[in-house]
Amino acid sequence: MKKLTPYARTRQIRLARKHLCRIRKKKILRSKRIKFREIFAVLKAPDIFTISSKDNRRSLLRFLGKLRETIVLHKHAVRIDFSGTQKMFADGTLLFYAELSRIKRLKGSVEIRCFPPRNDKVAQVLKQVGIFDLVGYRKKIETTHDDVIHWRSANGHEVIGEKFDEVLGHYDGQIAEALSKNLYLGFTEAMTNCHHHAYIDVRPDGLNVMQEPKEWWMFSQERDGLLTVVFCDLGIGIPGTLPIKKPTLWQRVQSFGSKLDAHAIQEAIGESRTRTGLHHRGKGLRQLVDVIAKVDGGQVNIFSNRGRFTLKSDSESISQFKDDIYGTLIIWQVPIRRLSDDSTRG
Amino acid sequence: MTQPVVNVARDFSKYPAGRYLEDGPASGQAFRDKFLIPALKEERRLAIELDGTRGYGSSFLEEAFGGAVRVGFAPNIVKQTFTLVSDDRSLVAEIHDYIEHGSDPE
Repeated sequence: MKKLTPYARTRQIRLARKHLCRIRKKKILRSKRIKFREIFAVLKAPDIFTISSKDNRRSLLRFLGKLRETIVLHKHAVRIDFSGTQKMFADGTLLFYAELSRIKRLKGSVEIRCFPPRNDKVAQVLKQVGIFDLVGYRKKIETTHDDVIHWRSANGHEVIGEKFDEVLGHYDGQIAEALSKNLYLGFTEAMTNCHHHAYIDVRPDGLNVMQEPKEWWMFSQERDGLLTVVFCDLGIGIPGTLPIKKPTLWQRVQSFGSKLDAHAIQEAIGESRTRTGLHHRGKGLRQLVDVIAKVDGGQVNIFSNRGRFTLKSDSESISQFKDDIYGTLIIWQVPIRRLSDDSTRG
Repeated sequence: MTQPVVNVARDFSKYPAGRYLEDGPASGQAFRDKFLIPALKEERRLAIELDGTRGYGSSFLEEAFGGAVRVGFAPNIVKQTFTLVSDDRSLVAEIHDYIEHGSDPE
């Protein structure tokens, strides 16, 4: 074997050290990755966020259940994987936002992170409504999509009328004053109902949390000339409230046998109408429905636990789902005219 | 002599909402305790201008005006004491309804 010159020998030693260093670095990185995998449980977010259709609702509610269980019960850090998420509807997004806010309050020091979505519009929605802030994702994202720019959100735990302007104030001039007043009425009565009834017992979601703040969350969204306002609480739901607050009514609801939650919502609305006998407008839940009663093309949906009540074009319908949202979510939809429509008319 | 005037939006809140004090700062009970009960106790008439707010929920109106009846003032006294001023006649009718049914909030 040829004897190395002193220079070549030093060089070989230097290269060998470098190689060793690289191997060590790789080892450290690998062990860090394994450790990271052990620390963070990855939960895949649903492809579509909505509670209005059966299959998507089931995926979303299972995901929310896993999120509650992993973070709050098992105290395990979670990385939410949004990479496959394609569509975010206001109802499912608000429920997710509310659950995530509550989980953040209950989680202690457990970390929540995310893998961002591949879909650009979904990323903009997550940024715009504040979900990225909740999961500590700080990458700068510019909101460019028209229907994302108009998403607004608010939350609170008191009956504060000023919050109305945070989400709907900039629609002044685009919606008729009477409708604006009706929406204000619906919003404040929803807050009042939430404050008085939603949190009177422990939410049966398995976490057994006592003495929760009477929190509510709200979104507004404008899309294709339709204003959508969504309000939700994470209380015991209307079917959970009735046995406590209205036992006689609850007995009647039970006689229906099936679709209990849906019947409970419908009966609670009906009762708040007949109770007063007023001709101008109802009370309590009925007011939430009457918000859009005289609006052409208006629609209201009330989801509570497993039930759903819909009023559209003076026609009421109810439906029952298998999965429980553990709370109440109200969606008002009304057509509005855009300011730009007026300006183009000159 | 001109009647004293309370403008809800100016003198109380542009955002009246909620029923009880614990609901929030602009509740029906807060309005009743601040303006209605003193006027009823002192037997002085009061004009209440309702326009200019964002709107009214029935919880606010019922607790303010129906609540005055529950406190112990007769419905006709409550009606006579307050002159309700609004462009929205259905709002005035609604408040009168709450006064008449004040002893039965639910």
